[in-house]
Amino acid sequence: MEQSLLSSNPSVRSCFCLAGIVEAKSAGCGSISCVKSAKLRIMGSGPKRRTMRLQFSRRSLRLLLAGSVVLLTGCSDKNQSFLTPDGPVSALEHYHMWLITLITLIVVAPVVVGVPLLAWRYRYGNTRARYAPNWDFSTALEWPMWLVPVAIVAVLSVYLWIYTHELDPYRSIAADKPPLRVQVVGLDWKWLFIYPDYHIATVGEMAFPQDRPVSMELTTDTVMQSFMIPALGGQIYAMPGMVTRLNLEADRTGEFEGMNTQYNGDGFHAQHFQAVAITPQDFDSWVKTVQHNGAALNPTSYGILARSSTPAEVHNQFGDAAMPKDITFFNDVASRLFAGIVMRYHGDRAVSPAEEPGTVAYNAKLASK
Amino acid sequence: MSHSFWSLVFGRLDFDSLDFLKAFFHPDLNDVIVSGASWVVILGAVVTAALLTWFRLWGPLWSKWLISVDHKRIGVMYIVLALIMLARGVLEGVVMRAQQADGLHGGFVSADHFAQLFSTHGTIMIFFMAMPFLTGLINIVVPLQIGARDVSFPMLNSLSLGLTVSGAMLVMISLVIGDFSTGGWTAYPPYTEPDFQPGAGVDYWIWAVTLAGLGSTLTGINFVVTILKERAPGMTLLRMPIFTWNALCTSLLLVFAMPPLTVAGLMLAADRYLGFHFFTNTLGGNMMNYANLFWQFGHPEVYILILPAFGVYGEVIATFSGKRLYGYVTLVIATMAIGFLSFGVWLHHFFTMGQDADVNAVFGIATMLIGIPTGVKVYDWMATMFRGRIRFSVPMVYALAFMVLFVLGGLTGILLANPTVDFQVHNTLFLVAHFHNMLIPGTLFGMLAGYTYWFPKVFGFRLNDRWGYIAAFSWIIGYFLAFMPLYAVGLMGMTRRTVSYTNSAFEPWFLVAGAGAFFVTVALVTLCVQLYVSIRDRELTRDIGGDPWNARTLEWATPSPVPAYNFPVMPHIHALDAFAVAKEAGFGYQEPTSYSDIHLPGNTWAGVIAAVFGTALGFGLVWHMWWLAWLSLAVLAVSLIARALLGDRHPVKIPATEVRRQYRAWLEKVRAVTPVTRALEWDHRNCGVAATEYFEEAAE
Amino acid sequence: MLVSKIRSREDAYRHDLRGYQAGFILAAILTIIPFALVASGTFSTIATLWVIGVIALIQIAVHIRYFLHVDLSPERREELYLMLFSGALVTLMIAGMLWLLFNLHTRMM
Repeated sequence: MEQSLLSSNPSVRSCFCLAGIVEAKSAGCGSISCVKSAKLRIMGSGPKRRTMRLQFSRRSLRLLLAGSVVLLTGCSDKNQSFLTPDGPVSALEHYHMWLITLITLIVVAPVVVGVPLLAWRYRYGNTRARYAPNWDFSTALEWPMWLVPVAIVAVLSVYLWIYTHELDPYRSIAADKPPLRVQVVGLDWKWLFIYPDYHIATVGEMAFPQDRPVSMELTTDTVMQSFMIPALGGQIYAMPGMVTRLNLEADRTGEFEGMNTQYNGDGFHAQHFQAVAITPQDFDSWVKTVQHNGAALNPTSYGILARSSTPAEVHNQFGDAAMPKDITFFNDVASRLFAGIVMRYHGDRAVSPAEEPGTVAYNAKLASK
Repeated sequence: MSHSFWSLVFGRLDFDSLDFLKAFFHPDLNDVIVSGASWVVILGAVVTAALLTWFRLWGPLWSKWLISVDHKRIGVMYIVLALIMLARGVLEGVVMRAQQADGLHGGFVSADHFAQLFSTHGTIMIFFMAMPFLTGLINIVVPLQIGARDVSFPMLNSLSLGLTVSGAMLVMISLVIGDFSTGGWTAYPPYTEPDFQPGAGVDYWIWAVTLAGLGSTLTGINFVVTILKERAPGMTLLRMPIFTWNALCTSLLLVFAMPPLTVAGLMLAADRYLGFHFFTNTLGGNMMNYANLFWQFGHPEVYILILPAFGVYGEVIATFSGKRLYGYVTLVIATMAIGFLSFGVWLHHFFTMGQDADVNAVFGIATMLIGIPTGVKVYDWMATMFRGRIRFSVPMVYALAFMVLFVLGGLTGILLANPTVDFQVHNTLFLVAHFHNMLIPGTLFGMLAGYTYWFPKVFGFRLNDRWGYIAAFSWIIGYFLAFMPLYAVGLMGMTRRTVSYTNSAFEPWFLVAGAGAFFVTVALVTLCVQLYVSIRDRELTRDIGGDPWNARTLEWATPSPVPAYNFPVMPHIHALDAFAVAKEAGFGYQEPTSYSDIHLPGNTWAGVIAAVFGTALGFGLVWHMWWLAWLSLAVLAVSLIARALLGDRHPVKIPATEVRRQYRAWLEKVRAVTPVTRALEWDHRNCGVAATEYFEEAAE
Repeated sequence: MLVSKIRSREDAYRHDLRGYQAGFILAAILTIIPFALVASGTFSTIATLWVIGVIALIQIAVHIRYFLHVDLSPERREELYLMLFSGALVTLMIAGMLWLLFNLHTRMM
C-alpha cells in the first residue's frame, strides 16, 4: 500500500507546523517510519508504463523534515516570518500562498517533468523514437493547452478577489474588543509608535495585548517607507503628508520582528523593532511603566529624535537604565502630534530643508548645535 | 575670486569626488575596493587605447565600425557593450553576495557603498547589459530574416547606439569621479529629491537612463517601421520568422513604454535642477505618481527584456529539434497578447502603496492573465521538441534550462500577482529571487543562446563548444545556487537592499548563495576564455556555407560573414521558413537570374557625436558645469539639423558586376564543401552546408 | 505594392489635392469651434472643456484619415491596426492611471 509523503497521518502534519527540531521529535515523528517507500508513476508516451521507485530511509527522512523546518523558521527568538503565522491576517496570507502554489503546480509540474523527458526520449541518438519534422499543429492539443491555464487562472482569480478584499490592510479585524489605536511615524531610521489614548510613545518596541486588534495609522516625516511585521501580517507603505492604515492582531503572546522594507539610507538595515504581544494585564502595567519612565516628547525633543539615527542611538540619547536595550520610552505626548506631523506637509508654505527631518540640511543643523 | 572661477569651470567637482584617490587618504577595505574599481576603469581605458595605437587599429575602428550604418556592425557594437557591462554587473553582484554571506558579522563594505552597488548593478544589468544585448541581436538578425538590405533609418540606428553608449559612459565615469545614486535602479522620490540626496549620484542615474532611454525609443521606432515596410516581396506578416515577430512586439513596446520613463526622469530632473515640486513632500508634490509613471515604463520594460529571448528560444528549439516550430500562429497571437496585456498590469509593482482592494484585485487578475499566453508558449516549445531529433548544442542547453527554470519563476510570479502574498514578500529577497529567476534563465540565457547561435553568421566561424558547455553549466549551477536560497530567505522575512542582518537563521542560505556567486564568476571567466579559444582556433570551426545548424530561416541563406548588402538580389518569399522549404526541395543555393546595382546608405558621424557629446552633456549636467552642458547640446542640435538638411552625402553604390562576382565566388566555395549530417554538427568537418537526412520511420 | 485602382498622374494629383483640401477645411472648422466657444463663453467651463476634448479627438481622426492617409482600405490595413493598437494602449494606460491615482488620493485621508 503506497503512502504519500503528505499523508493524513496527523503526526506527520504536525512536523510541518511546529518550529524547531525539539518539537518534531517529541511529536513522535517516528511515525514517518510508516513511509517506507514512495512509488511514483510516470506515464510514458506509449502503451508501456514506467514506474520508478524511490526508497527513503526512515532516519534520513526524519532529519530532512525536521531540518527543513528549522532552516525555514530559524533559531531566532523573534518570529520574523509568515511561514509560522501568529495572527489571523498572516495565517490567511500563509494559507492563500500554499493554495496558489498547489493550484499553479498543476500547470508548472508538467513542464518541469516533461522537458527532461522529451529531451531524453527525442534525442538525436535515439533512433527508436518517431520523427515527425513537419508536425506543427494539432487542434486536439490546442484546446487543453489554452483551456487548462485559463481554468487555473479563473479559479485563482476567484480566490484572489475574495482574499484581497478580506485582507485589505485598511479593513478592521472583527473582534469583540475595540481595537488598540497606534499611530506610527516613520523616521530615519526608526519607527515612532504613538499611543494616542495613553499619551505615550516608544521607539524600538511596539507592545500590545494579544487577541485584540491593533488599528494603526501610518505616516512618515522623512521619505517613503514600508512598515511590516511579517509574523502578523503584510506591509503597507507610509509616506509624508499622507496617512495609510494597517490592521493586525496576534493570536498568542510573543515577540515578533518588525522592520522597514523601503530603502531610506545608510541606517536602513537597522530600522528594526520588536512587536510584543502580551496579556492585557501585562499591557496595562507596560503602559504605566512607559508613563513613569518615559522621557518627555515635546517639540524640542521631537526635533532631536527626528535626526537621522538608529534605535540604539535614540536609546543612548534619551534612554536610561529603566528602559530595555535599544528601546526608548516617551511620555507627555501631545494628542495632536501625529496630526501635526501629517499636516505640516499640507499648506501653501514649503517646508524648508532645514525643517525637514531626514534631509542633509536638517542633520547638519542639529549636528552643529 | 579663484573659488568662483573654479566653480564656473568645474561646477561642483572637487578633489573629494576623485574616487581613485580615496584609498590613499583612507585605506580601509571599503575605500580600497572603491579606488580599485576606479583604477580598473582608468587602466582599462588606457590599455585599450594603447593596444589600438600599437596595432594601428584606430583607422579601421573609425571607418569600418564607429561611423558604420551597417545594421550588423551596429548590432555587434551593441553586444560588445553588453558583454563589457555584463562583466561589471556580475562583479557587483558577486561583491553583494559576498557581503551578504558575511552579513551576519557586518561584512566588508560600508552601507553607502552597498547601496551604490545595488543601484549600479540594477541600472547596468537592465539598461546597459540586457537592453543593448537584445537590441544588438535584433539589429543583426531582423533585417536578414525579413530579406531586407538594412533598417529603414540607418543613421537613426547609429544615433541610438551612440546615445546608449553615452549613458553607459556616464555610469562608468561614476566609478572614477563621484558616487552613484543609492536609490536603486528605480530611484524613488522623495529619497532621490535634492533635499535628501543633493550629490551627483542621482543626477548620474537620471542622465544615464534618460540618454539610453532616448536611444531605445528611437530603436523601437526604427524597427517597427523596418518590420512593417522593408520585408522582402512575398513575406506576409504570417510568413515572418518567430524571432522577427517577437522583435516587432518588443519594438512596439519600446515605442510606448520608454516615454513614461523619460517623462518621470525629466520631472525628477526638474525637481532637482529647477526647484519644481512634482514629487516633493510639500507644495503639492505626489511621490505616488512617480511610482505610477516609472512602472508604466517598468512593466512593459520587463517584457521588452523577455520577448526577444522568447524569439531566440523559438528559433533555437525548432532548429535543434530538426522540426517546424509547433503552433506558429498560436505563438504569434500569444506574443501580441502578452505585448498588449503588459500595459495593463503595472500597478502590481506597488500593491502595498495603499490602493483599495478593488484596484489591487483587478490589476492582480490582469497580471495572472499574462501567465496564460506565456504558459501556452512554453507548451508550444515542448510540442516542438516532441517527435523531433534533438541535438544538445550549447544554445539548446540554454533553452532546456530556460524552460524548466523559467516556469518556476512563473510560479513565483503568480504568487506575487496575488496582493495578499505580495503584501508579505514585496521588497524582500523573494522578489529579488523572482525577477532574477525571470531575467537570468529567461533573458540572459536567451541572449547567450542567441550569441552562440548567430555568432558564425556574423564572424564566419563557430564558437568553441567545450568552453560553451562549461559556461552554460556554470551559469545554470551558479544561478540556481545564488538565487534559489533567496526565495527561502525572503519568505523568512529578509528585506532586500540590506547590507547586514542579525537573524542567524539566514546565514546558511547566504553561504549557499555565495557559492552560487562563485560559479557565476566562473561562468563569466569561461565566456572570455571561450572567445579567446574560438578566435585562436577559428580555422577549425570555419563556416563557409553559411548554414552550420541546418536552420530554417532566411538569414542562413547568406554567406558567413554576411556582405554589407545582405542579399545579392531581393528574395521572393513563398512560404514560412522559406529557406528550409527550399533546402528540402533541393533549391538551397540558387543563383539569381539577373543582378542589379546595389545602393547602400553612407557612413555617418551621428553615432560618434551622440556618444561623445551625449556623455559630455550628461557630465556637465551632473557636475553643474553649465557651459559644458550648453556647448554639448548645441553641438548635438547643430549636427543633427545639419544632417537633416544635407542628407546622406556619401551613399555607396556597388555595381552589379561586383555583386555577381562576389556571389559566384561564394557559391563556388559552397559547392566545394562537403555537406554534413547533424551527427557531425560539432565536428570541424561542419563547414556550414547541411546534408538532408532521412530517418527511418521508427515503431514507437 | 498592390494598388486597387490604377490612376494616371493627373488623376492621382487631383485625388490627393481633394483629400488635403477636405482635411484642411475640416481641421480648420474643428479648430475654430473651440476658440469660438472659449471666446464667447457660451457654456460653463466644464462643458467647454468636454466639448474641446471631444473635438480634439475628432480632429486627431481627421488628421490620421486625410493627412496620414490611414483609412479602411485593404492597402492601409496594417497601418490601421497599428493606429488601433496604439489607441487602445494609450486609452488603457491613461484610464488605469486616472483610476488608481484618484483611488490613492481618497485612501490617503
